[in-house]
Amino acid sequence: VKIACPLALFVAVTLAAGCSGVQQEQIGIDAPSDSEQEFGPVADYLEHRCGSLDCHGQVGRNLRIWGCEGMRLDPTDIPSCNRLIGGRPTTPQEHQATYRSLVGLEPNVMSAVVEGHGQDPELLTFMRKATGLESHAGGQLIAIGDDQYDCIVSWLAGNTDLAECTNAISNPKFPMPDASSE
Amino acid sequence: MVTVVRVWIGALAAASVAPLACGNPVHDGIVDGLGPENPNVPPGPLHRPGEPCLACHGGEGPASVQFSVGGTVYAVRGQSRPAVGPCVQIEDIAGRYWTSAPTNTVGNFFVNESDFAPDFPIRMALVSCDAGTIFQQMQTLAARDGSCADCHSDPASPTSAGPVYLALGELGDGGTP
Repeated sequence: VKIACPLALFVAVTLAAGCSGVQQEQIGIDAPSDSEQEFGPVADYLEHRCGSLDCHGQVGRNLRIWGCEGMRLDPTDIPSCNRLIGGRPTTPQEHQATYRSLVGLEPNVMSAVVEGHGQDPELLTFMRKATGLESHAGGQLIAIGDDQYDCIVSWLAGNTDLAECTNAISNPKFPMPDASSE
Repeated sequence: MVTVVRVWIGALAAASVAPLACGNPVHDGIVDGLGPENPNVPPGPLHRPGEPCLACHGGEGPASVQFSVGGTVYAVRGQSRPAVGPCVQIEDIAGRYWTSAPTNTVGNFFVNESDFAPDFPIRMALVSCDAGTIFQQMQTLAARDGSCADCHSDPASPTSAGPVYLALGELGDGGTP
């Protein structure tokens, strides 16, 4: 008993000190820009390509994407960009919510990719899934080097390519109807 | 040695039976969540309007007939009257088109998987059945889900586009094409 009690006290004090240390510690990571200028075009692309209500426009997903083409952040909004039927365009707050979800998926990996100026984007699970390098229920959506890929990687590298992001939103590309068959 | 053999035989037997015995609890939960049939409507083309067709008709059962796309269309946004007669045109990412049979007396339509299995994503429109007139064009793509009601449940909310309708009602009625 004489040994056990001091030992228990030591353990309790040590645990308490350890816990309080964790609570006070802030962990910083290198993250890509969250500004409307840099991330806004990326968020708009992600919303269009990945954020439909039957994919990542759901609260139950690890990667959650908000916007007028899918899940809305404001409880009074509906999934529509069209004001004529009661919708409204995606808000900056929805961009921020998407940003936090995306960057928070693998913060340590995201930090490494950003530190490397976007050199190894496939370290990120969401990039491996989107490019088909890893199993993805939505299949392969982008190809390495295409406009969608370049849009995301340019943001990871700290210099969002607005032209590529603008082009990226035209995906997926449906074939043009064959006029000769009509 | 005998004990080891018995353990291996037991493990093999369990492994061979387990896949047969285990269903998909997520799918089972979705099906159970739909509740019982309306006793006045037998299972068939007129049953369960407004519900996610592929929950049961998506290949995991319990329905034997498998659909690729299915849903319910209403006449006017915010009202419960079904749209009877329009067709649903589906275009898949491979450039293939399919026009459904006309929506039936409760507004239901469905596409049998054996008739047309689209490559997702797809885009859809409500059209006249000769495809000469487009009544409503869906604003976004369906990326992977053939059940309209999964995204178009009633009422419209931040996570639901509201029921599919043929004609626009007054603003605030809820629902998007």
